[in-house]
Amino acid sequence: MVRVIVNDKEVHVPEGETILTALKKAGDAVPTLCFFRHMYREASCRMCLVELSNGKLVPACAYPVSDGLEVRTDTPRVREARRTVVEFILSIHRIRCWSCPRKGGNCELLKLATAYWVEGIPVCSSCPLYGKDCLVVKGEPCLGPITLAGCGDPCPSNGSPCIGCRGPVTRKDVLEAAAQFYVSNGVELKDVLEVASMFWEGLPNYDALKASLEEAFEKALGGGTG
Amino acid sequence: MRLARVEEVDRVFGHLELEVLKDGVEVKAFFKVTHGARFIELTVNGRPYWEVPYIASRICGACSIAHYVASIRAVEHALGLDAGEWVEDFRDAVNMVQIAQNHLVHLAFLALPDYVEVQGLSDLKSRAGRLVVNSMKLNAACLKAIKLIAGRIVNPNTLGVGGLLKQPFKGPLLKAADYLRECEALAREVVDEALTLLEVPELKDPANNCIAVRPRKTYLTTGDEILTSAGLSFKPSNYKEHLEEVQPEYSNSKAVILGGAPVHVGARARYELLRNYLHDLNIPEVDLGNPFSNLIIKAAEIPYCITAAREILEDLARRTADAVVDPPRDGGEGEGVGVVEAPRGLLIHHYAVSGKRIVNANIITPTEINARHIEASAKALTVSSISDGRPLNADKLQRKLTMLVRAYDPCLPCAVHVSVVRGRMHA
Repeated sequence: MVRVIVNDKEVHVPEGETILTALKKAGDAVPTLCFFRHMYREASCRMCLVELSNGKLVPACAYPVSDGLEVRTDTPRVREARRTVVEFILSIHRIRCWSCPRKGGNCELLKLATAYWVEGIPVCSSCPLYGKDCLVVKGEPCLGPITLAGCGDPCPSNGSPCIGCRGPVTRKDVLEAAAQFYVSNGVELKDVLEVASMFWEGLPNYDALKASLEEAFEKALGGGTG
Repeated sequence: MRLARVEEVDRVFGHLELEVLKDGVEVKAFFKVTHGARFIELTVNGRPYWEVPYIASRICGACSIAHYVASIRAVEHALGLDAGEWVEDFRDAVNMVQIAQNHLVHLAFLALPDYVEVQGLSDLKSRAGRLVVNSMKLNAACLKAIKLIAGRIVNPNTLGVGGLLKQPFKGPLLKAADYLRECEALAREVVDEALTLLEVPELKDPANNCIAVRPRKTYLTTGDEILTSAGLSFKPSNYKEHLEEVQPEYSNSKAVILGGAPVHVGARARYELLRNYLHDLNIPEVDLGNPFSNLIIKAAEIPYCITAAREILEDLARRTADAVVDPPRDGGEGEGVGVVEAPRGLLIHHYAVSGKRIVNANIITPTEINARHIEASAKALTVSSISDGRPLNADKLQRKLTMLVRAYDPCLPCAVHVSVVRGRMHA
């Protein structure tokens, strides 16, 4: 057994184990994505970064324990690093929340993004309406696919379409995928822009957003498959 | 000569000023709404009709449900839709819970400190701690019930044009009814304690001219007829023949007159006109000719609303109906007026729909209607407390005027939804 100090708390763990085991024993949770077995290999997501007493940031899931190791799980450096990690993961994430099986409360990425103040995931990620219940599938110009999540989706979960009050997602690939989704369900660009104008018309980037949406719809109508 | 001036009335929603002047022999009162104009009627113009309730409910955060319901009913009348009895009852129940919650906040937190003669809520807690804590509990229970059945505390989103957007099942309806049943006794206790503290000043209403919506069923349910103190009744669609909107130069809000005289809406007006529709409202002895009695009726309405809403919810749970409709998107031509008893009184939404869009909107809020009545009451109050052209006690008069304004519970953000722009009256 070796002695590890986690946030000033002493725990004893068998030799050869990782810091993560020590953290679990100390009851100090750190965010991990390890259980996505096929998505992230060990120590590649860097979500579980912790700070050692020498100032090094190391992944808790891979770093072996040694006697007298001091670990801190919640320092400004750690938080900043994790925030960057979430941003990186989100930047390579293929956002198709409207057809994701994890939508409706099980999206780990959304939970992490909310915890570390990273924006960019659409409302569909937390919307509980699946399949034929989805308002876009019903042909409504619901702004869920292109509005930032984090509001707790009170509108779609109560049957009324999202009206975009939390602001738009501006990533081009998301807009293109959303346009595909709209087009395949017969929702027209003019209807989407009509709803969008209610809250977004005054935004400084509204013209650029409108142009991107128009382009995305054009691309989707030009023979793309859903 | 200036007799009294209340520069900024605190403990009301929004900003206002009250000034009483003596012009020769005549005393004049000015109810100046200084809250910035919001142009909601202009925003609504040109929008598709199914979006209007979303926008209109944002006129007010305190009584968003009343605006939502009035707006939905106006659109339904314009398009000739009927939501059915079940849905209407559901809307009534939600509206009633909100009326109770609004009255409670006004009574316990905004108005009562005046009568206990303390500065505000934090001081009130040392004088009537139990009342404050119980009021907060009651407030939380009402909000919980609203959230459960209407989806959200502010701007609820299960209500829609033509029907509901989400089916409220038996379980949530009964659970909300349970929340309300649990706080019924608490509500009576709070109100009884508040009523012992409320000793309203004497004042004779100079213009006893009230209007209210005739309920479909019991007291405070929605309806499609407006009653007046003069024994008149008219359809909401004819409101322009009776109610005249004027824009005073000194105010950011419009004012409304009925037959050239000030008119009062609110709890007192409702009680005066709709007593026959009551089956269980314990009102203490009250002089209805006194505008301050509005506060007492408001207090009495709190337990009534909670009980009535609970009964409606239980009834709805017994006869569950499929209330969800696909939102109507076909469009149509027509004009519609929706009226509802908001916490502060009669609320009118009037829309003209052409195709799928709103082409004209007019909204009249209770505070707008009361504006002239507040002026008349302020004048009467000042006249009763001056001798030889000077106030007997300037500080006391000023305090009484502030109390008077609070007794009406004006909501200024509601009142300033439209104003004069470059000398032209919009909408």
